[in-house]
Amino acid sequence: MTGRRAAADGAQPGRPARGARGVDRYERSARFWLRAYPRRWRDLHGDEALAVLLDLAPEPDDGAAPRSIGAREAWGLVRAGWALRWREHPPLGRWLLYRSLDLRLPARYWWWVADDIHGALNPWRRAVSAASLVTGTQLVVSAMMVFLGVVSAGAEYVWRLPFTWWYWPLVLVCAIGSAMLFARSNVDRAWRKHVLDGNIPVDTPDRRRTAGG
Amino acid sequence: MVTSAPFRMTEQAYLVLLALSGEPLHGYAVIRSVRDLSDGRTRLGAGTLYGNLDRLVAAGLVEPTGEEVVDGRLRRYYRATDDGRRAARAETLRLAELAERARRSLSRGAGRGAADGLAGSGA
Repeated sequence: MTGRRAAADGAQPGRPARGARGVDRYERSARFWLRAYPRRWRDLHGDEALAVLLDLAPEPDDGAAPRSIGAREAWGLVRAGWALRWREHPPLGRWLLYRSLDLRLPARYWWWVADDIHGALNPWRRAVSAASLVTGTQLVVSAMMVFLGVVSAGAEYVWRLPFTWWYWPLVLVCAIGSAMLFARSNVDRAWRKHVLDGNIPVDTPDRRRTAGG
Repeated sequence: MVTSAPFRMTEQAYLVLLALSGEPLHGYAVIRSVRDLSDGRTRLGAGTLYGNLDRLVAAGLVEPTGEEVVDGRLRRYYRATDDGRRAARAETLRLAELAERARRSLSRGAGRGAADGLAGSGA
């Protein structure tokens, strides 16, 4: 959105009431609620959507500019933004394979993957999925060992680890620390694998996006 | 072929498509046009407008045609594609046929109602 915004601000002389405190508050409110949309959508459409919201601003009766876009408009943005996120989100099975085993998604989720990798919460998502994967693997392996009689099902054995009080804090601290420490290289590697060398979509209509509400 | 994608033609999407079937319009002009087309019954917000535009563009029924900065505000213009105009005509025809069937059904109902009324008054 910043590039567009710079272009828009270039036409400052004709901009009505720009700089007035009320309009600034209104614009801040509009920008805040537009964050319901994915970043890529905001880069593409953020400034035109902001212009529409400014056009839709009610005319002040008493000379005071409106302070925010209002509950109805905010709810409309939240609903539409999350509907778009939901339409673009891969189904649970594909998402689990991507998140836990780092498998490539089909081409129609290429944009979603790009958003996910460059998302602000990406290191946190990686950390939680790594912690879950470690715990899940450990539970499955331990359960199989108990089932096969290799180890006892007694309280002292390893399969009970995730139910101890210190396990989750320890695993999460390790996972989050590792994800933060290698955040830059993780993003570069994921970008290469899933975006540059990923399943790049060809320019055809997207059935899931068009069929949504 | 872009029309092969299934598109759920809601009333709002139909009105947006109709608004863009003439000249290219920017977002706020689409909102005003939809309000006029629906005789004030449909008032789109920015979220609803862009939800529908996103779906229409993804289906190949609408395309962006250009942009300009007016009074410091970015205006991006959209217009219906040939497929979009065809889809609008098809939906208009469907609605016209529905209205005709509804009119016939209502007139039959009115005829029965009048006959019942006559029978009732004769009893």
